[in-house]
Amino acid sequence: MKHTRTNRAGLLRTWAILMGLSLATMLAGRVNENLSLAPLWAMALLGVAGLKARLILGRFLGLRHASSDWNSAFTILLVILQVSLLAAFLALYLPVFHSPTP
Amino acid sequence: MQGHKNAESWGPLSSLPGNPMIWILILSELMVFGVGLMGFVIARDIDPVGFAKSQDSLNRLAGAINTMVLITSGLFAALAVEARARDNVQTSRWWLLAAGSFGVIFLIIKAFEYRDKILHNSAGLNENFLTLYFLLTGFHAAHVVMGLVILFIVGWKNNLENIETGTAFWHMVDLIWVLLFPVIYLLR
Repeated sequence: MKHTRTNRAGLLRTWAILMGLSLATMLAGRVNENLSLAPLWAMALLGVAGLKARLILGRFLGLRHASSDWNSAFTILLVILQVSLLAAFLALYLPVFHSPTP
Repeated sequence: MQGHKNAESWGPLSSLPGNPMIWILILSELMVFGVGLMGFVIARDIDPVGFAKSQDSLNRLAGAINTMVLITSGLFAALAVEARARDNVQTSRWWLLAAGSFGVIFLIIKAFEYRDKILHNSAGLNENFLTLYFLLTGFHAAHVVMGLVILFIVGWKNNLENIETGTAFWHMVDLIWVLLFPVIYLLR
């Protein structure tokens, strides 16, 4: 069991960054429009989401006080997840999805 | 001495903050929701037009507001830990109450979304989309409800270890929503 302390100013700073990134998510995801996202916007959207998740882990959950191995492990897990989601999203752009059915 | 032995017995997990068991839960939940989100994106690949139409029927702004509600709730939960670490029991309880109140606001917004989808807005939508939408967001909402119960318990049995562990669960709920919202509501 390890207790950690994060000061109030640090928590408020993290909250402000997370709120800013949430606005960035709304912008990248075109929250008020019904249109398809270009691959670059999809990449930005998933990238920002991964960054927000990492900030919550590090600052609110205090993961940054743990060993560097644990920090790396969670970062790698989030990167694998977001890259896999992006790859599955971009798979639609592969020619196999556009070939005529026999 | 006893505490020292306990810390040692967790092995590599002992460097993690709070109770190490909560981190096993966080890892498990990340993987469960990660697989669920992969299923959602792959199902979308099968019927992109149907999924796009279904996604357009969602209230994206409500989802975005809910993201900010949960992030703010997470701040209050973190401030509860900070107050308890300074031995300020009463202040930590007020922060936990604030965190829980924002959790309730999240659920109210979610309930309005569900009501709209169930009563008025599900005709002609992709069935796989609806199934995965209700499954993933409903499972997440169930975690919010459980989180509220946990926040109440750690507010009542108020010590630093309990509050650290209880709020870690709450942050996990926040973390999952931050990953879930862009994929279900915005990725199209």
